[in-house]
Amino acid sequence: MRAFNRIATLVLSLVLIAGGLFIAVQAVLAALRHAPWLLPLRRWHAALTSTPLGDRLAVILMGAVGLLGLALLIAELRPWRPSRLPVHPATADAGSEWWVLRRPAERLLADAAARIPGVNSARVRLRGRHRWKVDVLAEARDEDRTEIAEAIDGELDRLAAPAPVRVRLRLRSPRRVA
Amino acid sequence: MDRFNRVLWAMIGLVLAVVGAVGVAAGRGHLPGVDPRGALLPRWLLTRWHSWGWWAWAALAVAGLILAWSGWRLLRAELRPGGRRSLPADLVLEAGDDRETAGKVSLNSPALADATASALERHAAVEHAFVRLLGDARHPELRARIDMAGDTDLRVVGEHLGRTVEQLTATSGLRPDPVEVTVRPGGDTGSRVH
Repeated sequence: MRAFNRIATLVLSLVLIAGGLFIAVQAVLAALRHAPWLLPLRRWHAALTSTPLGDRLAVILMGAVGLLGLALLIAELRPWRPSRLPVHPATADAGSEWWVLRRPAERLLADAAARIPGVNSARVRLRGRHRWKVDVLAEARDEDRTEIAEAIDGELDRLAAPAPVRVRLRLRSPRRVA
Repeated sequence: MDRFNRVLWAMIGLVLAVVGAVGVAAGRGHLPGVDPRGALLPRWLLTRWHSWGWWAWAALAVAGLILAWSGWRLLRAELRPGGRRSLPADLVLEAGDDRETAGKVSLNSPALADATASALERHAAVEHAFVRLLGDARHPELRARIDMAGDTDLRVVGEHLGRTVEQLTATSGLRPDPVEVTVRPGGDTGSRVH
């Protein structure tokens, strides 16, 4: 959604520049009683003054605009996971701000768990804005739990995640190979 | 910029939702005082527009120019990192009072940023670094993006960055504050286990 917003804003800014200049040119032409430039504005004017509000197509278009707006509003207002999380390396200057990108950090933590013998796969989800919340889902036996927790803690320490970190570890029994 | 974009598109979404809902309500005859048989562009609005004469077109031209200017500001803000202006390419430092620092000193700030990135990349823990110097000569800011090698302790990178910023200050006299660092752990080659 962040990438969508950025691209959409860039497009919007270009549309505003082109549209704004176009409106200014058309207004000057109209004030000087010249014919509209490029677009058939007179035909559009005739259509807008002759089409009733209750026209089927107009109502469908308005409905589509409303639904698009509602979808956009929901997409923007729903909670997003942060793209980066704060870290505090003890050796860094106190005035500096440090962050790690969420997705690579998730991959690194999942790698750390998956490297343990007996762990078939691991998935990690990171949440939290100031304090990290780590959700680990691993396909492993219960006796591997301590080792997985230690591996995750070690990686969090290497990443200088600010304490305390809340780690939730869930295990799924390994599937038997036929 | 992320927060600004999010608020902007939430507002646009809200406006579109309200316009759509009001349009549908008016078209279906559910809006009191609005006749669904009336035109999309009502006669009373046209009459008022024509009564303003030349001023209506002048106001529309000004509104168009304001829209274009807003678009330009939006584009410029979007293309700047974090909405901040980069340090001027030819940075002229203030002359000091003593003999050693007297005289005009000018620096090429993109070259300085590249040199800082190269200095960061000299450490084995840093696979790739990208540095931008923002603000002005009196209040410079540093933003760095670092791809950190796998199995590296972030404290090592923190220490190395501190030394590199000290070198930058010693060489150029610039003391960046704040220093903002975003790290990609595992670098470009991080494997994917899901």
